[in-house]
Amino acid sequence: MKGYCGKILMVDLTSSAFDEIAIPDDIYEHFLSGVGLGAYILYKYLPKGTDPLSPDNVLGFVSGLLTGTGSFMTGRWLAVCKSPLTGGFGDANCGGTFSPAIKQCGYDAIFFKGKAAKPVFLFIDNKGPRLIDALSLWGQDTVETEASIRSIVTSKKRLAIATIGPAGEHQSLIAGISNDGGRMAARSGVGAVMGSKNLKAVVLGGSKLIRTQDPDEIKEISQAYAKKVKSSNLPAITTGAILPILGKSMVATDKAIPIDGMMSTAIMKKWGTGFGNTMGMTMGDAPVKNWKGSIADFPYRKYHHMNPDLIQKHETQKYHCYSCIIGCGGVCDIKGVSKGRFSHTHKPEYETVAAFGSLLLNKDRDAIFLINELLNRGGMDSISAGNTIAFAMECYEKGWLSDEATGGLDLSWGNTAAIVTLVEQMIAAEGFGAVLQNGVKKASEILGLASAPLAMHAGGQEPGMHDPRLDPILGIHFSCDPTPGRHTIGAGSYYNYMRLWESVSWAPKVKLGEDKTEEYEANSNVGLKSMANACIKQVLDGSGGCFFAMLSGFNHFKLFDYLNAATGWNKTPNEYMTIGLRMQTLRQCFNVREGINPRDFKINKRLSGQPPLTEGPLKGKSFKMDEMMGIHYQFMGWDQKTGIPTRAALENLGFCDLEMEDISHG
Amino acid sequence: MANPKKPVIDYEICMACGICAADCPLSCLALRKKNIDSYQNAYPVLDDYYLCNGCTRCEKACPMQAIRMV
Ligand code: SF4
Ligand code: SF4
Ligand code: SF4
Repeated sequence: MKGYCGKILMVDLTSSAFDEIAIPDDIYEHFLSGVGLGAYILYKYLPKGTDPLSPDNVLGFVSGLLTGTGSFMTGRWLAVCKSPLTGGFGDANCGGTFSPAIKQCGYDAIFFKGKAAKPVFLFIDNKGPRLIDALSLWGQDTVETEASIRSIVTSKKRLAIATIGPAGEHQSLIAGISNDGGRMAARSGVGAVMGSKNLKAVVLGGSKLIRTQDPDEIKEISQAYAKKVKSSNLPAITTGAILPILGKSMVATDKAIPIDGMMSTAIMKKWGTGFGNTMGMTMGDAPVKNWKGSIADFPYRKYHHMNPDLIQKHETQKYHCYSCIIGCGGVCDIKGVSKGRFSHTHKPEYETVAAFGSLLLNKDRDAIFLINELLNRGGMDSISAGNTIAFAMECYEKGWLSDEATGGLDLSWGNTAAIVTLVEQMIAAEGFGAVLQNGVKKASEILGLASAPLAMHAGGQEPGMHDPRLDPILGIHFSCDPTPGRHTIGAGSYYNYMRLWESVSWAPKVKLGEDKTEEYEANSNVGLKSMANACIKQVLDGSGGCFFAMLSGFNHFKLFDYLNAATGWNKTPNEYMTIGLRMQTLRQCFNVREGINPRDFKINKRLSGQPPLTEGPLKGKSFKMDEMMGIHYQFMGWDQKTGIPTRAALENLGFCDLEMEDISHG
Repeated sequence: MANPKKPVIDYEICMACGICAADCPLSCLALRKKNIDSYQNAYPVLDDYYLCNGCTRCEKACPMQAIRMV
């Protein structure tokens, strides 16, 4: 009766054995479910020093504590494993309908260890789990695989299917896992790990009930939140034309404007993440030309093709993840694109539009629709793929790549045809694509040391499409999160929207008109904000919560109240933040145990403005990343110099039955 | 005997969250555009009236109380 199922399934693919493991209440109280439960299991069951692509790696599919409880915006799941991209903790967050399906099978999470002798998929329904031969599916893309499985497996309930495409089968280190026809758990190289286990898909058809402590209270919270979301709308006459103007006005001042989070909800309802396509250009948020250019290189006459209104013209209906009342996704008709090669695609996210638009100076919108579908079907991370191609283009510009090396591809900036070909090659691991298929770090290792400064990554993970020179706290999380390079952990702007200061006693209040320039320096306010970001994101990812619900503000999205109503715990927001701190510290301990030096996760210095840009809205902006990392570590209770959690912090937090490795605490 | 009543959805209240559709053990509810808001949202529709066995799970699951069994 607590919102969670209290057990997980461990599948040994080597021996085809299933083990149901009961998880004591204590573990949920310390780590929640979701990413926290994932970190707990990985720390406990993954042998230290495991090669990420070896059978010993543990791959988990975790749902959220609040998933399926009647709460809204809590239908996200994560894939967790040791990341082959960074060598540390790996996770990838995804929406769709897979998260409730895990719990409807009676588990909070499903884990895999070992390696199947030949390709298999896991099928679970109310009768229990079984492994089914997937040889005939090997080689199919993610959309084809879903269709094939629906024809093979009969089920009364519509199946939820998570699958890899060819990229995962080839163990491309930037491969992800797809569900619902192309919603991707893209990051950390989780698809490569799935491929290395010969696991093609996880197929769920259970229909068990999920019980909670106080279902009426949950409904009340949901209805109050729904009322606000329903009434948060932009005026009907609003068009995408205002977005560049809005962006410009937002950087015109160096003052903080803590806008109510419901404003972000109204924008998400209208456009989804696509609002950033053009707004990000005038703000300087969207990276240009492998992060070295500005709007001067990709001016209005080019970027206006990415106006979300034009993308929305293809949208036939909205797409909501399970339990979502915002609905930022969409289904797009692309029969008119690329000679009708594909009929539909998920509406391209801002991340994909920027990674294959401004980052590469490509203004061809139709090509972005095509690339979006190619990557979703191939099962490859668009953020990582775009950054890697941008790196290759800069090498080409410098004359470091001959036409012979690229297999005759002209990698000049904005050469759309070459970009499309390269994406296809990367997915198929062919031609020059084989050099790029493992992400930017590996590509620069192949091309030689001199190319390393052009490779944008943090510890091997390519950064999301948001510029830390605009928002240095974002840069802290790019460099300090145990899964580095993420744009979804924290930022000064996210902090403003969340309004945590209304519930968490130590979260500093942002006042209207506050000087934003102080965020460029390593001071205690920055440390507190970045710590708050890191902690709350863990609570969110332990609950199955959506990032965009977080941005609607916790004054509206009552995450803590939801958790108490589901579990009957009656914890305070401060106590939940401590749980978040524990989760994040456990993930950091995992990395240190696996031999990672946290300081090595520092993002490429170009992203902290070393040297600063000479044009555009971010002209002259820079900050000292080393110092910023230090202040974050310090507030997290990690050694300020090394980033290793201190012994005192570990003792304070407590880690239940986990035998914490005695890492050389700072 | 299963309850012969079937779900009727009040689309004025419904938030298109899809919880009912994911909860139905027989997946009788499809999510489809209904042209009842300007967002092109997809709403639950009882596609196969006879497939539904009237178990009331969707009704209980709906956080908005937008479903009545009639
Ligand atoms: S806001 Fe978007 S990403 Fe979040 S749950 Fe809704 S559809 Fe999914
Ligand atoms: S009453 Fe039961 S079978 Fe009918 S639609 Fe609702 S959940 Fe499905
Ligand atoms: S659960 Fe209720 S609010 Fe959600 S889609 Fe179904 S009827 Fe609408």
